[in-house]
Amino acid sequence: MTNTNFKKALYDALIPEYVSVMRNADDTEREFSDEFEHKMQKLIKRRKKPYYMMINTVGKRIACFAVLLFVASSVTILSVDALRSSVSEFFVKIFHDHTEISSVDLENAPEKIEDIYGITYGLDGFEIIYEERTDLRLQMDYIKDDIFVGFDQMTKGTSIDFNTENVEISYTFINGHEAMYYLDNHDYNNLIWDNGDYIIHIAGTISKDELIKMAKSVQKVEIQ
Amino acid sequence: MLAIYLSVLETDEEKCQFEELYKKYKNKMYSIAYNILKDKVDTEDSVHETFLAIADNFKKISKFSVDELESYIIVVLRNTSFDIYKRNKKDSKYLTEFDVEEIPDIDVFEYIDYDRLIEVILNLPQIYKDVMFLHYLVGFSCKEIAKMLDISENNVCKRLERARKLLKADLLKE
Repeated sequence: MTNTNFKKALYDALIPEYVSVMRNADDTEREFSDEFEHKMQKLIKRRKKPYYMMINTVGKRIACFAVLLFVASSVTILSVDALRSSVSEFFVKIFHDHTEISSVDLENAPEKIEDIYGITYGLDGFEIIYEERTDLRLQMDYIKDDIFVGFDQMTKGTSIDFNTENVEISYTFINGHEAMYYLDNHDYNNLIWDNGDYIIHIAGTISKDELIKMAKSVQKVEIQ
Repeated sequence: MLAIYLSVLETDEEKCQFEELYKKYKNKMYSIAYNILKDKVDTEDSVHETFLAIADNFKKISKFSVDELESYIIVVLRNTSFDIYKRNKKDSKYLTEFDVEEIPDIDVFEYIDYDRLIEVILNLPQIYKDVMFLHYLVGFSCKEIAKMLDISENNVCKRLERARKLLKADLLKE
């Protein structure tokens, strides 16, 4: 049962109507508001960083959510002071289609990007294809052949959305700080952690093991 | 069905397709949404929300034919615009509820006269045409449709059921 007749009829009935609406629509150049253009440019930039789709529909989401504190994955880990101290650095809110991350400990965190962090391992031969720096965030995208790596350094004062729809989240440790790991629906490996001063997010089309090595290499690379 | 895919018409790099799509359709989308909303701010919101839906489903959309892509944009844009209109006016004649009785499977439509089938499809209320397009033609799940139209998954399933029921009822009239 292929429903061929039904689907063909649906196509022949519906498509011409929809297409005629689009093709007959007025294509006069419009003057959009600055706010609209700004929002669209942000969206386009995010599309250019497909591993990091930030979805701006928070106000409309009907989501059931659980607020989870990061917990250590085993009793053994909990017994180690250095690791235990990192456990409560994040709040993670897992919605049905995205995850919001915000830091708990803001007391000594810089309100603006002061120290610059960067990946210091595995980027030989990579070319920077995108770079953006604001007071609150530093973004660097690298590419070599078909291999993509993205680095984000963000202040801890704002919550950050990640598209984690239908992904499995697990946890690991990066230099003593608990890190969230997931493979997103664009097949990019992602790691996010709070290094004490900033939230760091790196992602790429490299293996999980290689991504962890890069994550562990993240350190201050420039001091203002 | 036109076998012209967006990836052929646009740049080879997916990362640029979205921007190309934006430039190509933003004015037409504005015009269509404005005809419903008659307000510049609401219209821009509708166009922006539609592009968010496009971005969210871009992997699948980039494989659509041009006709399917334009149809998809129209469906999401009009639904988003009506949704904004409803939110603002708290009143809508767009959605009409129907009692649910026997719900036929779409297989029953396989042996119906083709021209008659097209005629009854065209007679369906727009909300049912839209979900049928999204589900049966371009293959979105009820969950995906719910998210892009900002309605519940249950509502999507109900609309599909009601659409099938209305089709059957209309076909049995003569």
